Amino acid sequence: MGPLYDKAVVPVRPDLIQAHRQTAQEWAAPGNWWSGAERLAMVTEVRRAREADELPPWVRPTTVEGLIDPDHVLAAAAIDAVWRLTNHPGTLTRQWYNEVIEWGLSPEQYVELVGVVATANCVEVFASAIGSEPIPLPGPVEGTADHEAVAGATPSTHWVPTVPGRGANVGKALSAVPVAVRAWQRLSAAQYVPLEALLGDLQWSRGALDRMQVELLAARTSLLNECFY
Amino acid sequence: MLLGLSSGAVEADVELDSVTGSEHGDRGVAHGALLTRFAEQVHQGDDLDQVRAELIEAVGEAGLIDAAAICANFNMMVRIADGTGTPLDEGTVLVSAELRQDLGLDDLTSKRLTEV
Repeated sequence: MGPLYDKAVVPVRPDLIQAHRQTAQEWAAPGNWWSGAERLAMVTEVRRAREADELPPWVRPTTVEGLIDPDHVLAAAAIDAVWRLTNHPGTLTRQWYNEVIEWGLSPEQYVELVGVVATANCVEVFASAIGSEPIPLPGPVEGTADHEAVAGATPSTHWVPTVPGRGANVGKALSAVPVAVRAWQRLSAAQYVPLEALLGDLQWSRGALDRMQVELLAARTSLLNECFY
Repeated sequence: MLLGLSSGAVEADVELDSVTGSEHGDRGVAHGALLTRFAEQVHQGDDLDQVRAELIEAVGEAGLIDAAAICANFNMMVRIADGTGTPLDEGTVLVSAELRQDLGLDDLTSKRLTEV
């Protein structure tokens, strides 16, 4: 990979650059249920979805003539899910999730896809917010997914299988797929508030913004995305 | 919720309707309206360059980076929560009822309380 954010109008914290670099390298490596090439293809589709003329939520991009390469490395179900998660996250329902599974993704494949799409949108938004180009993507790492099934993961409180445990529900959301958990936790620690300070230190700050400013940005962004949680 | 808790921790008088739009002003948060405008422009807007410049003026370059990182982070978290059908935490349902109603959150498609 080349340098990240070297043309940004303001300097980016080294820990943030490192977190984004590591995330991109993990996109390119085999995950628990997808190959590196497939994971990178998801990131590329996130970019295409964000740049495309917005489709209504109910239109599957794979049904729009000429929009998706017929020889795409990802199955139609995965491509459609990537676009819907990227452009219309506030419209998702349990029925839609059930349809995605009926279209052919396993619940674990879907959870890993959510993780890649969420982190890709995150890194894309950051670049755009600071006026920088999207980060360069590495080439895919050879190898196959390890199909690591997590003991105890089962559908209960969420649509997707999760591992029961203490803590906030959103912290358990990707728990069926370890590679997805590592990715969001790394980004969240570098970009928001360390997990231990989330409720443990309500005045925690990196210095430039106070905690109320941080939470205002977080809440406004969530509401703009029509997120109830 | 965390905006309310963090303002309570420093005994600040923050109006929580500040999260519904920059037109409400700062509402007790330093540069609140500008930060809200920045989040709105990051989400969708034609004025991001201008708001970015104003934000650097107000909170410095490090503040801009932190603000961008937080907006980015919550573009990740909303997709994780809404993509997995994450329900509101049990301990939050009752205490947030009034706030949810005031902010119109109960009308969102993504509302999930105790679905199993």
